[in-house]
Amino acid sequence: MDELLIKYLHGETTAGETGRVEAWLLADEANRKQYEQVKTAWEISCRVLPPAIPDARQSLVRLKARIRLGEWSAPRPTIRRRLTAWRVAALIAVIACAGIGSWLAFSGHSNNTQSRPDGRGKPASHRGQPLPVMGQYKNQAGNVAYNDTLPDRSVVLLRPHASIVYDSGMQSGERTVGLRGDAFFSVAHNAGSPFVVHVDAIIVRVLGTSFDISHVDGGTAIAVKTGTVQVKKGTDSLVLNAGKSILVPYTGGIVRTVHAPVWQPDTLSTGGNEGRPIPKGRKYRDSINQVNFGRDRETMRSIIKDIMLERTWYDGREVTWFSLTDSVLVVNGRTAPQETFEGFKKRYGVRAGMGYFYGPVKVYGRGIIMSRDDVFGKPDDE
Amino acid sequence: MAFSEQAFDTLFTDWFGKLYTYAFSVLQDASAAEEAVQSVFGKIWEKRVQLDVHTTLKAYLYGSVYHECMNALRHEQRKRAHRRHALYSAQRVISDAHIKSEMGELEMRLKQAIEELPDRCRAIFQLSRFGELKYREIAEQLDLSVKTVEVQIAKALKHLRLKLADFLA
Repeated sequence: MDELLIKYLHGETTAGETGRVEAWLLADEANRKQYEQVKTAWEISCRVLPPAIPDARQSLVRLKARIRLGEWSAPRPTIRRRLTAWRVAALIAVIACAGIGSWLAFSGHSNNTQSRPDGRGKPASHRGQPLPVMGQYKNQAGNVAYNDTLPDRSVVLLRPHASIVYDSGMQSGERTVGLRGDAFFSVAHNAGSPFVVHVDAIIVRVLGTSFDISHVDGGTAIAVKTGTVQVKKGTDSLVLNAGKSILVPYTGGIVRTVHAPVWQPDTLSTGGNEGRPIPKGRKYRDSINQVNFGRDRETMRSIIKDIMLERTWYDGREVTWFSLTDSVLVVNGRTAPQETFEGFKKRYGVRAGMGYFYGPVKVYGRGIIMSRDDVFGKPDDE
Repeated sequence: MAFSEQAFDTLFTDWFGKLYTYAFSVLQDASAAEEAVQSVFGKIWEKRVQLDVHTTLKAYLYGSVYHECMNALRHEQRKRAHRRHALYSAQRVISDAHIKSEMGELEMRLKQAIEELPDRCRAIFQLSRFGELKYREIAEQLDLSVKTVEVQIAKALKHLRLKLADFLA
C-alpha cells in the first residue's frame, strides 16, 4: 500500500487508484495515520541540506578557468559545405600559413601559446570563443620543465606538460592563476594583492611564499616551502605554514593529515632562463659526506626490496616513489596497512620528525632524501 | 539549442544552487557536488552550439547531474579500496563532529536514514524530492521504466517512514 500512497501523494495515481486510496483512508483511522506518516516523511526529507551552498558566481569563475585550461573543448559547429575551387585554394593557403607559423614557433624556442604583455611569444589564434576570466596569457610546458617569470615577478616552474593561465593585470588587484598539472611557485610578496591559484576544484590563496602543487595517486598534494598559504576546497579551508604539506583527495574535502611527499625543484631562477629547461639538480651526495651516502643508499635499496616483497598489499610494480615517516608508509600513492607500516618503521629505526623519501627527482621532507639516480646511479657513482 | 556566453552564465547562476543541493543530497560531499554540477555545465559549454534538449530544461539538468553523481559514486567505490583508512577515519571524525554540532536529532536520524539507502534509490528519490520531477520525467531522463521509478521512490520513503517512526507518531 505504501507504493500506492506515495503515488497518491505525488498526484501520480490513475482515477481508479485514487478511488482505491480514498476508500482505504476512510475505512480506518490507522490507515489515515499511516498516510500521515508517509506524508510527513516526504515533507521532512528535504531538511538535510548542504551546510552552505558555494557562491554561484565564484563557482562559475572556477568552471571557466577549467574550460580555459582545456578540460572541455570549445564547440565546433558542424556545417557541411561543398568544396568549391576557390575554397580549396583558400584551404591550401591556410595550411601553408599554419605550417610556416608552426615552424616559426618551434624555431623560436617559445612555449607561449599567446603573446604576452611585454611582447615576447607569438600571437595565438583564437580557437572557439575566449572566456573573459583568468586572463589571456597561457604558458605551457612541453616535455621538459619550464621556468617562467610572471608579470608580478613571481616565478613559476611548470613541470612537463603542465600549463597555467593568468591575466595581464597581475600587478594590481588579485593575482589569479589557473593551473593544470604540477608546478612550483615562488610568489613575489605584495600584501595588497593576494596571489590565488585555481587547481582542480581547489583554491590556494597565497600570503607571500613559495609552495609546490603536484598530483599524486589519490589527490592533489600541496607543500609549502616558505611563508603561509590558505587552501580552500568547496566550503572546507585551512591555513598551511612553511614545512607543511597536505593531500587533497580528488573527491572529498581537505584532509588535515600529511602523508604525501611532494616534489620540489632543485633550482629556481628568478629571471634570465625563461623558456629553457631547468638544469638537473645537485645530487644528494654533493651535500652530505660520502660515508653516510653509501650507508643510506644501502638502506634505501633495502627498503625498496622489502616493499617489492610485500605481496599482501603491494602489487609488485616498480617503486616509483615512496615515503616512510614516523606516521605512514606510502608507495606510489598507496598507503601501507598499519601493521606493515609498523614493521618498516621498526626495521629501519624511523624516529619522530624524520623519514626516508625516494623519488625520480628530489623530494620534500625531513630525513634521508634520495632520487632514483642517488640509489641506483651509474656504476661510477658506486 | 544554441546560446551565447552571457546566456550560459545566466543559466549557470540560475541553476547552480538547486543542482548543487541535489548533488550534495546524493553525494554528501561539498567538493564532489560542485564538481558534478560543473561537469554538467562543462559538457553543456562543449556542445552548446548543438545541444539537443528533448525534455524540459529542468529535467535535462537534473538528469545530467544524476548521471554525474552516479559516475562519481562508482568512481569513489573503486577508489575506496585503495584509499587510506586513516584519512577516511580522520575525515569521518571531522564530518560527524560537524554534523552533530549543526543538526538536531531529527535531522541526524534523517541523514543517517537517507545515507542507508542504496545509491541509485537515494539519487532517484532525491531527484523527485529536490528536482520535483514527475515520475515520467525521471524515467525518461534516466532511461528507466516509470514502474522502476515508482518502486525506487516508494522503497526510499518506506525506509524513511520506518526509520523515523519515533518522530512521525
